Amino acid sequence: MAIVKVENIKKNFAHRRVLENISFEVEKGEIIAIIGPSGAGKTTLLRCIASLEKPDEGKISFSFNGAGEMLKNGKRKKIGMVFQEFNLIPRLTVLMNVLVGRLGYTNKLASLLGLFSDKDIAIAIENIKKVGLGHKINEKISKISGGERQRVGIARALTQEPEVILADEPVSNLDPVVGEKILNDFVKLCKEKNLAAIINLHQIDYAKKFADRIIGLNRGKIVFEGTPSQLTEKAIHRIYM
Amino acid sequence: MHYKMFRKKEFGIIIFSFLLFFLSSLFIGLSPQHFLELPKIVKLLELPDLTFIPNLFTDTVVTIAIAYSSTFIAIIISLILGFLSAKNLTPHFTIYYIARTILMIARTIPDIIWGLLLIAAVGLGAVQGVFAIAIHSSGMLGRFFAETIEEIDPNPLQALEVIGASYSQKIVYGVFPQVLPAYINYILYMFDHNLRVAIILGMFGIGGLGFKFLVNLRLFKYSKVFAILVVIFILLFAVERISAYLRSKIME
Repeated sequence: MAIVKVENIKKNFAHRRVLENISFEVEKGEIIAIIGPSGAGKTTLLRCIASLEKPDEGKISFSFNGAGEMLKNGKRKKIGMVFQEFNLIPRLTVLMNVLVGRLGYTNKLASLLGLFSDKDIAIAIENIKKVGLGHKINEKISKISGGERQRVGIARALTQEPEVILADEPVSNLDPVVGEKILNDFVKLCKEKNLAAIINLHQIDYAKKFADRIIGLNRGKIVFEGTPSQLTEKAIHRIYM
Repeated sequence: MHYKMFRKKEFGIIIFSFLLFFLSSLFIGLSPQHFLELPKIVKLLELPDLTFIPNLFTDTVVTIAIAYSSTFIAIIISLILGFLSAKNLTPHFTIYYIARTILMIARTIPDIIWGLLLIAAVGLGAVQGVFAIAIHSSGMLGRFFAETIEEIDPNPLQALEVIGASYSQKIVYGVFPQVLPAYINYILYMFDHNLRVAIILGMFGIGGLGFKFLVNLRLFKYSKVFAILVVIFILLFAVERISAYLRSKIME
């Protein structure tokens, strides 16, 4: 059963069409890779799903457990996001950055005083351990490597207890060896928790290796949709031409 | 081929600045003779009366208290106005313009003038000094704070947006950790500055070391004047060292 349904969405920026009639569905536990050249609309598509942008036309619907739980700022509680630039707060510790993922669940006044419940702290620590940073819980972000930072970003998204995780070029800023290892661990964690993930990727080989399904975007349109084995040289050419 | 150290335009600027200095001197009657008179200050030089220093304890505390209270009030005012007048965080552009205008007025009128205005309006007293310095410092700090906020990395805020953080949560988790080192730096600088202003305003009647300095100067008690200068020097030097230490700790 589809838990995310994207139907005919269109998005323009300053009269320039960025997304045109985009439709696809995401099943529970499915890993989707979105590939395409720079400016194809990959980031805008993810931002629309994350409610960071509003499509001009079309509809995005969600039907997972807790899909209706909206946060005060209009975002969905059960959608997590991992960013290309990690988007962490350098002066805070690993634990504090991950705990931030619980802000949607905590009492607002308590959170303003930096107070989190034992349950929140336990969830954060568990996820930090899962991404392999159990030994760096109290380390400041400015003191850890780029790869470790992205692991913190993943732990933060997991701490939101999401049903869907969106990842925008999560390993583009990392060297290939570290990047592949992190992507591998990320996909493994999603599978373990049966989470759906939509990952924007630059690297076709990663998309083929880690995704259940690949969507190819070119100039705001879907020009390919299929399994990794269906992504032939011809299809790649069509996406990147 | 020769390397040209100065281009025509730069040379012109140097010539112009000399010309402007010459004209200014002419206007205020500054002549080389005046420079020769400067060493006359040595005539005043007397050994500081160190036995007078214990009598300056209360005045020193008053000066520090004026500087501290005014900086404290300024921090609170400028924290609020700083957020409201930062383009990327202001709740509304009308509020932005109002906050900016308040900061601009507070900043452009010098603290000494605020002090004289308040003394004229309310009378002599330390409290007038506190408010005068606080008003001007709020204008300065508020602007520094707003500019710091405008330069923060917006990426962590985007992550907080997805997580569903409220405006206040974004400030606590996304903005404060980024601006805190710069804020503390500005606050330390402001306290240092305010201490000097508190001494100067003292001479206009708000009390403290400045007042003692002026009274003894008028009575030609130069040994006491120099004792006060020793205290002022130690005080400002100590504050500067403590500030430098705190800055290095913050930057760690």
